[in-house]
Amino acid sequence: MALLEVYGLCKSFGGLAAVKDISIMVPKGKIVSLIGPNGAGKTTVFNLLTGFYERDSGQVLLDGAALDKLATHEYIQKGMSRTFQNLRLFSKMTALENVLVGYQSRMKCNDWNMIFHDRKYRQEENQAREKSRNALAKLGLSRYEKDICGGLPYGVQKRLEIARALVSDPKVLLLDEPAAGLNPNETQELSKLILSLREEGNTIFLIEHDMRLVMSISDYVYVMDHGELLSEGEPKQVRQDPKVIEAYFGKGRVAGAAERK
Amino acid sequence: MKIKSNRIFRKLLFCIMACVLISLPLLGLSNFVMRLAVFVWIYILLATSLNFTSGVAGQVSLGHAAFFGIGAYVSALLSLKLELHFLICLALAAAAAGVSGWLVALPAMRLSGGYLAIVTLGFGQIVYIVLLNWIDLTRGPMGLVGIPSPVLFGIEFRKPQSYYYIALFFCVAVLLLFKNYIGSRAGRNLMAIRDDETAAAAMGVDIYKEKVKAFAISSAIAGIAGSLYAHFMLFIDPSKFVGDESTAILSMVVLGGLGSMKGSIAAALVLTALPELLRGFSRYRMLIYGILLVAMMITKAVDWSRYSWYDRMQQWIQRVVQAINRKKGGWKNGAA
Repeated sequence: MALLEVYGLCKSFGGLAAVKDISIMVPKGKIVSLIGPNGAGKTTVFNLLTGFYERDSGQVLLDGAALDKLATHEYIQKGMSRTFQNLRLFSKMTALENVLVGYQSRMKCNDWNMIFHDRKYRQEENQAREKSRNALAKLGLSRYEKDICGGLPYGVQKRLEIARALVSDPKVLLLDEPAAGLNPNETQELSKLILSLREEGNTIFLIEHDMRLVMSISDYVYVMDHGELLSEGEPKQVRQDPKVIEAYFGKGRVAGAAERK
Repeated sequence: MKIKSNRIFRKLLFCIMACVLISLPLLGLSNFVMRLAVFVWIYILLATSLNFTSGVAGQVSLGHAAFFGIGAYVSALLSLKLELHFLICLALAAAAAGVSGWLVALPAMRLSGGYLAIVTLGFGQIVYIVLLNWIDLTRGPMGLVGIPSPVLFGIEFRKPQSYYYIALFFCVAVLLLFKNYIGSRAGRNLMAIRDDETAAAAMGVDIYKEKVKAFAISSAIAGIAGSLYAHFMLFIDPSKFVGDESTAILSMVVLGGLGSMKGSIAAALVLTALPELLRGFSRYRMLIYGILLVAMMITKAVDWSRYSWYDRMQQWIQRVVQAINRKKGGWKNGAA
């Protein structure tokens, strides 16, 4: 049984079926990728899995428990944590504060504890800070701790978003195009990082456009196009699937390229 | 070393400030100055409480004076009609303002930006018109007269010199607890909402609930300020709680830097004292005040944003400590 199981996920916006009958399995401790051309519906799948959209039909099971009728903010408590395709950091807060907000769903102090800064609060706050600093260190961001994150370099912000999603110890970490906008060196580092996260026992569900990255680190790959699953399998199999090649390059072009040779 | 020096500096600063603030009424200043000092405290409460919703949580409110008014009237009426003790009046004023803030926030916090500003503006008008026209209760434009001064431990706090201590105590207590709250998870969640609601929701922040709570807390503190105002002035009428007042409070928050508590405090001090200091210019007073306000907004000469201000201070302390250490090292070397 997989850690995250998705059965028959559907979503349409008006007349447009953005996601049609998608079923996905993410086993524990693996890296599973979702790829597909622009507009295939990958991010919609993420938004459905993290409660930003309400699904029309389908079932989502996390660790055997159904994720049903939850508000958006409750998904992280259940263990689904995500990053965003376009950076969505709290730009006027420091790097450490960003990560602390990522951890807040694990904090239990009530308002009175917070107003009077009593012992329970101080213990929890210290623990949260330690956890957050560890998460920053894990992503090599310790020296940015006190910097306002809006002014940090793009690559650093990308990593900070992963730190923020990671600090709450999610069961499944959903990364939405972590390599977008990174240069080849940074992408290389990112792939090492994602692999090291898997080593530590994290389960990762990844959307990515960078094929080299996807093919080198994924344990299993799903391919989407026009809201439907086109193909699935291990990276090697998917790469050779003619349907996938067609979706990415089109039939005519491939033939044309061959003629030119 | 960094942390230690910082802590010592903070303690020193705190002691100096406490001494100055406590001894202020004993310095033989005129009644006029002491009255101004009490007003400064009241406006500091108003500005910091509005800063909580508008600066920290980013939900701009244009009706803050309404909660100030509710607090003042509730406190005054309770002490006039039911002859309740000042402390009970103060608590109930805070509760009344807080509850009305909560009721306004329930529908209003589903809105954002300009829509929210207009709703709060409208609420401010409603409160003003009710105060003006509910003559049986509020005596309308004639105002409430003869509000009793607080009596605590058998002492009547009537003169500005003595009332100053009441204002000082409540303001400092509220500000310290408020600072705790903003510095904790709750404050961070609100800042997260301000910066990016979508991401905040993804991190597990219940956006609507947090916003409503922030608005209610901010209103309750404005209610405390209202109660302090009523029992100091001993007379209140609706003209004090109009939209202009809300704008004045908001301009303090904006001048101090949205989200900065220290900034709000400093700006409340400056903008409350300035019109009084300009009395020498008689007719041109408000004109000059307006020009200065515009100039300050444009230049924002002092950068009060909470990070840079603090960081620069810290850097400066560190440099001093380093210099001292170097000196020490030098002495040791010389001795050896």
